[in-house]
Amino acid sequence: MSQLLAEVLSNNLFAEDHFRIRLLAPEIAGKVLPGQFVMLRKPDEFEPFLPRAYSIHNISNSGSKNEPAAIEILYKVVGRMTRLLETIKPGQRLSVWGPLGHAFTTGGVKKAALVAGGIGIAPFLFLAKTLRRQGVDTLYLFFGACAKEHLVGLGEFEELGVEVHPATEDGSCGHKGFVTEMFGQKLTGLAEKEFRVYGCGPHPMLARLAAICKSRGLSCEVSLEAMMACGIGACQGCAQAVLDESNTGFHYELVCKDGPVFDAARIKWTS
Amino acid sequence: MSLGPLQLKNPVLCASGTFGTGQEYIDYVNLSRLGAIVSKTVTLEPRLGNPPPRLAESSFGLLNSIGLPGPGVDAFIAEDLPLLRSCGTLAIVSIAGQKTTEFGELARRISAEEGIAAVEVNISCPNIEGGGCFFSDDVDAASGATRAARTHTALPLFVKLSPLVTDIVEIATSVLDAGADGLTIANSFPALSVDWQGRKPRLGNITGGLSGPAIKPITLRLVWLVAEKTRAPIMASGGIMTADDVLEYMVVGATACQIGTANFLDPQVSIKILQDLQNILAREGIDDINSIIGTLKEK
Ligand SMILES: Cc1cc2nc3c(=O)[nH]c(=O)nc-3n(C[C@H](O)[C@H](O)[C@H](O)COP(=O)(O)OP(=O)(O)OC[C@H]3O[C@@H](n4cnc5c(N)ncnc54)[C@H](O)[C@@H]3O)c2cc1C
Ligand SMILES: Cc1cc2nc3c(=O)[nH]c(=O)nc-3n(C[C@H](O)[C@H](O)[C@H](O)COP(=O)(O)O)c2cc1C
Ligand code: FES
Repeated sequence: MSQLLAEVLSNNLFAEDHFRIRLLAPEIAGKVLPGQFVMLRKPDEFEPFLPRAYSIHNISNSGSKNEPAAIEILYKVVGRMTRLLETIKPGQRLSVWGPLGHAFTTGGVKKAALVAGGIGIAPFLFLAKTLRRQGVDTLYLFFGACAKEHLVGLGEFEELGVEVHPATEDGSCGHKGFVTEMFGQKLTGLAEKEFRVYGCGPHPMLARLAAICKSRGLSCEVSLEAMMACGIGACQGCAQAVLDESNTGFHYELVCKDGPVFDAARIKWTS
Repeated sequence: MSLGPLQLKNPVLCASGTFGTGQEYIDYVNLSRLGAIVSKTVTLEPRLGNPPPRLAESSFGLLNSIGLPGPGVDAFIAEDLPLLRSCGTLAIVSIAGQKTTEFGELARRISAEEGIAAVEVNISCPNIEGGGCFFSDDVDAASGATRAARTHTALPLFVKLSPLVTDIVEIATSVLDAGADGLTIANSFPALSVDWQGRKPRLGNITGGLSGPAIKPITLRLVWLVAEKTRAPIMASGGIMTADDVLEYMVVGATACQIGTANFLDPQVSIKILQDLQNILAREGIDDINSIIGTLKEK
């Protein structure tokens, strides 16, 4: 893991309220795996007080070198950090450390479904690219958002040959309703053993996804969120209740260190 | 420099509960350069810790209600202590009991191990049953816990006080009389963060401890009060973010400073503070850092 003051290469509006920021961070780009994240903060800025966690959305080359040197983050403007990030200009520097946490497991996967809710789409471009490179040819994306404008980046998944199934709560694009409903319906034709499900989005959506996968006997990995302070396992602030092996009780694990990616069957879901 | 019976190579330490076993920071910090590392508080039995959310932000501060999760002293000795020891600097072990006798038992268990430089008795965690105030705000309870630990250890013994007490000098004096070699001043402040729209507390345990720059001037006063009245060796803890903060605490009477919440904003901050401190001392022509301890001019 490395910490650096990374130069911002670009920071562009990508869709309504969604920005993509690209940082020069070869130490991180060269090591990071899909599902891992970085901690990010504007140096000497105390509002917001804490750094924030961001998944890696993509890695890319920068300059002449033929290896990954830049990390890309997809963020949605919702609060203090993201309103600050929105104002950052290329050439400015941000304090960033990582790569952190456990990645999605991709070994042995033959077919996969990515199920995203809202900004939960962020880690899936990098994951889809990685799965493709590993020869996974059957890839589905089930992507739900409140409205069409927030179904960001569908084109890139289509270019990768991913079969995209959109859902919107207002019905402005694709299935009208929750993405998990749509996933449950479409799954009937798909379910089989070699099928791996990956989920990222709001907690209630992931709880629903976990229940569907459990009932269909599918293995499912989810990327969870928690309020974080350190991001490196030192403060124990990002606790998530996880079932004991015996399934009778539970204990807490750390989203930053033991996650953010967990086997959905291990999580003690609250909704 | 001397912190009571303890010899430190510099005054920059890392605070309990904010630095793990040190190993979490190994990629960011040359751990052997730190003055010392204080372990997460160890309890006799394993503890789950408090329900999430355990963190909330405030202006220039952080509220936490971690609740002393941990594997208990046996697993600490087997698993965490070797990690702490391997950091290459002084290992201070923080302990907390729920009963007076537990402080003694913990001190005894810890002292039987090799490679521990000192014990810090945490009588001030705001996040455990009874608000943690039982030991911190009562002279008899505070000195009882101290005496229990003192009876069972020959190691340098520091007691970490709560900032929220009626008379901190009285508590400080009583724990020193009970055998403490020095004090850590102070823990986080009991506090509350509320989401008014949801009519809900932001922390799972409702209240938490406030730390960070928001508390620094308050803790600075407490260190000053106690240093004036007791001349005890003091480790300061409260909102230390920069080398200037370290020097402020030293001027009012602290010998060493514990970096806590600042580690979360920048994992390398402890070493940066140490470097800045050396630069400032060189710039100001101060050869011996000890010469600034307790030099506040009051008139
Ligand atoms: C492992 C991990 C990876 C993450 N990856 C990403 C990522 O790739 N992209 C990204 O944008 N964020 C990501 N996050 C979330 C990110 O860390 C911040 O929480 C988020 O950017 C909001 O921060 P803020 O300071 O702008 O909002 P705050 O000021 O902290 O919050 C303002 C309000 O917005 C609400 N809020 C928070 N998130 C959302 C949301 N998604 N939609 C609507 N309201 C919300 C909060 O509940 C709060 O009430 C990730 C979090 C974790 C733990
Ligand atoms: C997340 C967190 C966990 C903490 N855990 C402990 C602990 O286990 N034992 C203890 O004595 N103090 C604990 N503290 C208190 C700190 O050691 C420190 O005394 C306090 O935060 C004030 O210093 P600061 O403002 O520099 O953080 C904790 C603080 C935080 C923020
Ligand atoms: S955020 Fe500190 S332990 Fe996870």
